[in-house]
Amino acid sequence: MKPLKTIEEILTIAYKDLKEFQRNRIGLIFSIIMPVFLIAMFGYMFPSSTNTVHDVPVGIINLDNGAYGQQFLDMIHQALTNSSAFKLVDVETVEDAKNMILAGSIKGAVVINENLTMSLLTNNQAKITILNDPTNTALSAAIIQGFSALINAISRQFAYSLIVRNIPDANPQFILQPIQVDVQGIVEGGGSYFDFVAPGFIGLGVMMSGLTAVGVALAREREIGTLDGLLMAPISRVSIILGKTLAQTIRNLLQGSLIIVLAIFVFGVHVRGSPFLIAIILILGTLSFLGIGIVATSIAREQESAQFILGFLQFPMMFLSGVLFPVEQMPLPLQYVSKVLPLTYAVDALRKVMVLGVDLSGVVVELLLLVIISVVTIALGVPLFDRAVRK
Amino acid sequence: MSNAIHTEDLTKTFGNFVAVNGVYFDVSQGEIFGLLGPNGAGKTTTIKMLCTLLIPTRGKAEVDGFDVVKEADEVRKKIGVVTEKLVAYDRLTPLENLRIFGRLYEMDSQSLKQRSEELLKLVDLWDFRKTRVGNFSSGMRQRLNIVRALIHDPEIIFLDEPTIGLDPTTAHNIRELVKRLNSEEKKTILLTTHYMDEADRLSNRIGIIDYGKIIALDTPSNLKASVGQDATLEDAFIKLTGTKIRDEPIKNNQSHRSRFHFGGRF
Repeated sequence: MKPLKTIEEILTIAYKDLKEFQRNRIGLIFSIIMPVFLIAMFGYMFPSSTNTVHDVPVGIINLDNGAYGQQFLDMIHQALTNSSAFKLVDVETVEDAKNMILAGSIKGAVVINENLTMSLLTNNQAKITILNDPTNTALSAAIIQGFSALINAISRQFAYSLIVRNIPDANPQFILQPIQVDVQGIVEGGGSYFDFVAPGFIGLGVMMSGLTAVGVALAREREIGTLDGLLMAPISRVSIILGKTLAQTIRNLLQGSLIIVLAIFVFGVHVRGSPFLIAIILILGTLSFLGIGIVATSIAREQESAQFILGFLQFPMMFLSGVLFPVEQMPLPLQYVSKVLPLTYAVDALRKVMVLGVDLSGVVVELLLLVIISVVTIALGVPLFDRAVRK
Repeated sequence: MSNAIHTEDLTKTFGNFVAVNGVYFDVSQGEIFGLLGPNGAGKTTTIKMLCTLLIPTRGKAEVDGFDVVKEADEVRKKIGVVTEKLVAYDRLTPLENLRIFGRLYEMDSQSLKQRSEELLKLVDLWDFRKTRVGNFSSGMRQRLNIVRALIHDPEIIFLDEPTIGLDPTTAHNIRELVKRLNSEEKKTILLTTHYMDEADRLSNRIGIIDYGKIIALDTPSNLKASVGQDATLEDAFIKLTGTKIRDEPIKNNQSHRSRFHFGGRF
């Protein structure tokens, strides 16, 4: 195979596919409207979902050197000993906690501030801070709700002891609420459910068109008769598949970018990260889904069977990849399933970059996994496809 | 005269169904060869093997001296195929379609531009060069289908029912074009058609295929004479193939269509 000739063939097929796509106005409009419509629908339907959570890792940091700090730490640990909702992780500093939240190893953190004992001993209100992850509003809401209730309960116990002791000249506000809950997001401005669902639906749009793209495009060309024209030309079969893959990747990139722009202006979605990094995620996401689509199309004996296989892959991915609901709200076995789905990594990386503004180092694991999935599935898919069609 | 097409024991089976069963025939350079047969007789399967779209189960076929399996790319460079279905993209214009296919045949921009103009003028489509193919009538589409197959100036042309469903005027013009391609440009043409009159007028020789086997191969006049004086080609065809109406073997046909016809090799 001559590389230059193959590249020219790939570019010709890609050019042809893009030209056809550009002229298909209805298809073009609906491919953009669909994800925007879904963002709006789910954004309004579930503005503050706070479903039950399971085993959510939450960091705990004690910056106070006094007796009360340690006492509160023990009380929080004790209160959560039998909890299935949260799992406490001891963290040294606030900076560590923020990094762990960005990396996804914890979903929030409780900070016992350094002056807690001193404030309480001098009859001043003390603060316990809850750090949250605004990319995931539903999970943040669950953490804030759960830990606020716990801290307020501890605060009430302390208030009772103050009343019993009848401290003279004490500030009434201190008597009523000795410990205040302070909620802080790890990025400025917090996040809305739109911020949570927008990257999910952008990833979903990329997945849906990517999975079916090559199979559907080839089936369409076969049905109208143009595939025979390509097959009778002196070009390699790899060029046909990769040309279509390239066209679909460019199309998805443009489509995804347009949806992001609409999400920003229509729903006020915040995009804090690098557009370049977002583009890379969209490209790698598309390639991994195209690879899976080619494998699925190749192993199916008939076009109809291919559609069933693709449907079987699409629907679980839609619900198990954290597009609509945080993965942590699912039962544990399903959380394991979500870890093998490429959409989970594409959506996770998009959220981190779009909402948290992380740089390449923050999504390197997700990107590597998407590269591996793309390379493996395309390398497997092309010969499988060749074998299937030569029978 | 050397052979443009040569087949030996050419066979194709789909599961238990034998679509083409040990076919032998040759087509000389510059000849128009008619391949006739009832529906499902094996005409299209034979053409698909010669065009490298299907791999023969047994036997051998050469096009312009190149093996259709081992030298598929060389065969593809030599042939132009007009299939029953239009091989052109509806959302593109005729010029854009010709540009895409020309580039796949490694044509340079200048010769591609010249050849497109020449061919579109030849079939009276030049005035519609910037109109999308989706807006074309069936006659215009078939004319484009033919010039698309000719864009790289192939030496051997396969015409699979080129006038099916066309009005008499368009069909007449296409037949005239076929004659001209053969007489002026010395193209070798393999033609399949259900119109006996068309096969009679165009072909130098005719092969009749039935149940996957060539059952007669001769000049149109000899085939007619074998039936009797004043006999038509249709009389000869009916005598050889019978009057029983054939339907395509649906089950087998579907099974071989179910996978992508991706033939050939990487």
